[in-house]
Amino acid sequence: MSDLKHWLDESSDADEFERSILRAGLEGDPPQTTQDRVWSSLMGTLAVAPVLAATASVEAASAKAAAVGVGKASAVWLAVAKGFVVGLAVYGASAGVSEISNRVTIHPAPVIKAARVSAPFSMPRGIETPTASPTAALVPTSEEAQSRDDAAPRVAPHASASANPTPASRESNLPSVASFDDSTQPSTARVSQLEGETRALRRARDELRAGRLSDALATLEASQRQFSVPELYQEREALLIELLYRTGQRSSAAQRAHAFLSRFPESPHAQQVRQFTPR
Amino acid sequence: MSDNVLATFEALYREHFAFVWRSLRRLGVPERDLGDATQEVFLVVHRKLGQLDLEHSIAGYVYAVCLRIASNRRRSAVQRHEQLNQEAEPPELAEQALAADAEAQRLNERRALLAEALDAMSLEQRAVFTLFELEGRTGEEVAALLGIPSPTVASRLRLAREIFRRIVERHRARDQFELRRMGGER
Repeated sequence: MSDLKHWLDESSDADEFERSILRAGLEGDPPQTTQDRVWSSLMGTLAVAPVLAATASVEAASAKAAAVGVGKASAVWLAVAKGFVVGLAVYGASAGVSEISNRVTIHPAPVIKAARVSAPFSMPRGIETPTASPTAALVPTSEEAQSRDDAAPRVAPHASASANPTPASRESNLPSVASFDDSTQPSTARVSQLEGETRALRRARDELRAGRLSDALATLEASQRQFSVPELYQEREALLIELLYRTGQRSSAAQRAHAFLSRFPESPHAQQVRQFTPR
Repeated sequence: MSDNVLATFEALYREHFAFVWRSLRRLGVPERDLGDATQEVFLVVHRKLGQLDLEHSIAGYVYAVCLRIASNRRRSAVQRHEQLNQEAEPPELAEQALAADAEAQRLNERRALLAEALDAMSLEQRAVFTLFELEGRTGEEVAALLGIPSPTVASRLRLAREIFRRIVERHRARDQFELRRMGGER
């Protein structure tokens, strides 16, 4: 065994042409940026499971609230909470940034001060009243929508082929790691904004888990104000559509869902959004 | 994920990332799919983290997962009637290749030839060949990584080399034929 000689060894019986072919296969390792990008995507994927678990606990809380007769309004708000959490799960996977990856990349968390405006909704007793419509403040302006159009996440080339996964390739139904072309590396500012948006949403999610629904809503509103041109427009729009639906504004939800699907037919959120269009 | 598990997983990821990337590429996963395939490998590793012997068998286990992922993707690609390593270049890339200098062209030709030879091997032969000849592992290391006896490594390497040489010889013959034809036309 140990007498086997590598062909790249000059003293082996391979000729120079054969060696040159092998040398052509000694390509360099991928750059560090690629390693970091795959890590972020990986952490985003791994973050989905815990978030879905949180959804289940919100559902359980909803059922419990109904059982003790907290009332219909409370159930509606808990449903809204569920919508947020599910949306955040999608967000986490799509952004490729998770609570774990954020913890690994340590940055001081921005202090988001929740602003209070008028209160069109009345909150059930025992839950602090939010002072703005749960959806109005989150509705993106047309400029935001336009500005995000070009920056919308793209599905990797092979993703369409995964639409009909074979049993052998079931692992491939994962959020795709985006383009690995280093020329398209996001700028530091953009990464910083992504991290900021992620932190704000994570905070909102934690507040939801703790049952502080109005705080969660305020955090999301603050996030909308802080990041007036969001990096994650599609994710936020998908969340908003679900919110509109869950709060009973179904025609608005349907209208936005149609607009979303016509603009982003290949969006990873299209399937989620489609369920809020009238059948 | 607890802090300890995350730290262990991240250390494992950082240590093995480049190896996984290279291995998947050499096992025939197309460049465009390398990121997703690498992610799949580490998701599997993450799921099995509690069952792995962190002191000994990690590299072998990681490579076994690479083999499985590459095999799945190979099978899927066949079902989609794709060629893994001989994808048509977009027109602009083809033009760039034409404009590139002769050395770069030679390098591209050799890479294509290597890809052709590797594609002609079975996945098992390809694994042994690339680990030994390109990764520079010894026969014993390859045997340990793949969990197979040393004589099997030697046998697979011999067969893989035969395939490699057959492809190279065919290329040489084509070149000579082309040269003769061009000489005849003059």
